[in-house]
Amino acid sequence: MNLQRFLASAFPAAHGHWRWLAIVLAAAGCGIMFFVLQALPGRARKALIAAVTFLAGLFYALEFFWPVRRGTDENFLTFAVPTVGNVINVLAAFTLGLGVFSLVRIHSSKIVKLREGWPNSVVLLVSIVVMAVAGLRFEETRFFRSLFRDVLNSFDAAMFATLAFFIISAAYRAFRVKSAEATLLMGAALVVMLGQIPIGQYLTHWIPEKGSFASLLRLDNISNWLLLTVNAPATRAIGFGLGIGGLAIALRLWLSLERGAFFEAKADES
Amino acid sequence: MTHASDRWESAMLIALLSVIVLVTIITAQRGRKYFIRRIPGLNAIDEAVGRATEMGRPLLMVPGLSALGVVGLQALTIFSYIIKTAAKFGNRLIMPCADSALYTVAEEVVRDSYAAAGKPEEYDPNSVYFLSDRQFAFASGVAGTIFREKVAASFLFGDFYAESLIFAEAGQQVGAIQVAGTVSTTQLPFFIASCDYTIIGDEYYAASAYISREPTLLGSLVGQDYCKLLFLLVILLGVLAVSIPKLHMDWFVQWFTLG
Amino acid sequence: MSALSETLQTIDRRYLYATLLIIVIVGLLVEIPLPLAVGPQARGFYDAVEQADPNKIAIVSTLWSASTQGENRPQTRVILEHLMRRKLRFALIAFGDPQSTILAQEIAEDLARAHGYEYGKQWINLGYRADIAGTLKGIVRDLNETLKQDSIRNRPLAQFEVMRGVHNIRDVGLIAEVSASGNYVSWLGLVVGSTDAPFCYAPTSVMAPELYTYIDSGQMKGMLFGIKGAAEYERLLGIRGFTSRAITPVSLALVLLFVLIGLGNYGMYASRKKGGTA
Repeated sequence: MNLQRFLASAFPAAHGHWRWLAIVLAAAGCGIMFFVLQALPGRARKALIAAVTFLAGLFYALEFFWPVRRGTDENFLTFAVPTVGNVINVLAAFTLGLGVFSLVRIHSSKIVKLREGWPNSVVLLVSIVVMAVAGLRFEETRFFRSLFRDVLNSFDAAMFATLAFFIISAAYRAFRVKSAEATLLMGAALVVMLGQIPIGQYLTHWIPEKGSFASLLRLDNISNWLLLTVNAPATRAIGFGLGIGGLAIALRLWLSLERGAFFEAKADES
Repeated sequence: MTHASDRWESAMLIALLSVIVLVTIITAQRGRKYFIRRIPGLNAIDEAVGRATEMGRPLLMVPGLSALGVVGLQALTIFSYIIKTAAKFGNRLIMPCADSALYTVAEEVVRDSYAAAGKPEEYDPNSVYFLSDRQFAFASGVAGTIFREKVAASFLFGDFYAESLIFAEAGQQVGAIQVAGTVSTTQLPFFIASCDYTIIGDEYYAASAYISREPTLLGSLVGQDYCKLLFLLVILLGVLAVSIPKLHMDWFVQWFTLG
Repeated sequence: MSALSETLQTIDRRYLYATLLIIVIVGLLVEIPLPLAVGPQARGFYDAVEQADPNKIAIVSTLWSASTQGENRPQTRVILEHLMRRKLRFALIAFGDPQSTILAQEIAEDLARAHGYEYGKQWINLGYRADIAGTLKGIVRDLNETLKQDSIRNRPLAQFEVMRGVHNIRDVGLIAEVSASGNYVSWLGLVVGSTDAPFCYAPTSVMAPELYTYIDSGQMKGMLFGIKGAAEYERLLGIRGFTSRAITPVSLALVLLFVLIGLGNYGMYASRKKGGTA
């Protein structure tokens, strides 16, 4: 029997009052699950988490490896990919609430106890409330657009702009000819930088861009060569390592082999 | 490539790499000892903690913008090691977090690390706090902390983006000794320019394996190295195949050609 | 001499910052007309848009926030400008940061007024999606079922004229992403192999070096290298906008960097020669 049809008949879409009932029941179920999980002994909890993790990962692994039906781009699990993706969206929304709760808790405590810097905490909490109210209630108004565009966007961009100053001081301090390798690095960096800016390109703009041996001496061509022929293989090599590392991590997470630091110790405690 | 059947060669390669990693993990868990070299950046950690003790200034540990995932948890593993070292000397520590879920885990890790070092009374609940999940709000908060507290040592491990240079330069300006480690290749140049020691790419995973000596992590690391050797072999064979047509290895080249 | 060499090696960073600030302000006020060579990566991007199938829709994905708008905003602008000049249908979609969708919408609305583009007929905003991998996998298979409705009018996609004949990735003629993050991995792994549509990328300049591997392999047809890439694209479009002017302070800042590096190394060299500390 087709899995999609089976699930559609077992869990038909709810409408009207039935939909609200389904939401309430789901929320109640989550609450009960929460207390059940808390009550479970550590080892049982670990086993349950490992089982759920495995099943969740198995869905994507199976959907990827299972052969597709002839003439289509789908197998028996493909229909569920958007639905499972929606679950992830919902989980992401939950973490937003967690972050706001933590922030309010910490700064409220700071204000109540009048710890050093408490006026800044007042400003923070007021800003959170004002921005939230503006976004939820006054989204289409000039008030919100000003807060978003003129305040938030500007502050964000200004912080990013400070990087320019920090790069100047960092590069001035770091680019010293202390060894042959450092000289090579600095030389390559200077050539690449010059090749990217009009002032640098202007230095060799009189050389034909292509079609002659001399074009090899154009700064932008040398810069491009360095990026494509020297930088790209090195980046590719690092990419191989990180890609394999990512695969290893994914396997360890999926099969709950990831142990150490925290979760294993916690499970062993209880 | 949404399904293995789009390109069976790639799918088989993924399966082969997975088997290699799993085999080494299993053999490590069953008692086989694997060697990994000492990561130079780890020596710097002890030096940094010692310096902070002499100066009587706090240590800063920043897990970057890492979410509650493997990179973030590996950062906490490294921080746990640092805390156990620092606790012996009574150093004050500061750990601002950008992810609320990671913050809750970090709190527990810090507390447990003090307990493991035999100094549970030294644990200060205010030392670990959630700052902001907005990139530059977090960056300005951490930079402000560095300047106000005049930290003696700064440890930057985890996922970093553009804010990495803000942390590193702020630490430079207060004269802190800085050790950084990240898998974000785009931020490595900034850390290398501004920090005293930088742990690059794979060394980040190796550092947590070296510190914890957990068989799973050691086995996984060795398995990854075997996979890289396999890639090296494929590249060498590919170079030969393309360079020497007489070898008639077009099928090999075709196997790895896109499109 | 020894004092001078020491000073050159340890110039107070406040002087460095002040000098940079002055240079940037001067550079913004005084335009230096210098030739800007258009690189092969920007040209590749331009050609991909020029040759895009006019019967198919273009997807423009944005993954940036206000912090990187210095680079990503002009990139988004030139790409949309070119698409509208060619009268191509396009759909905006945002990942990574919910701000993306609002910022891209602003730019699109602004350009749409100038080009007579009507929302729903020639362009649409598919909104922000938190689940990148799931969304991209779904787009390959069935775009309408995955995305369901637009983000501005909250109506089913099938009701919009712009989405007529668009069912899945095979009905997409061009994929362009403007990004401050590494989302290209998801596109390359999940989408690019399933379509003939060219994939072009517009990252911030700090990310650009790591993308040359994909340019080399042909998986990316074109790239805009930060604000310089946007300026090159403006040159190709025959526009002389703010971005073309903004290249001047970028150039001057880098010249300042060269001068400072030179001074620092000269100080170190002079100090060593005198037997001082480096």
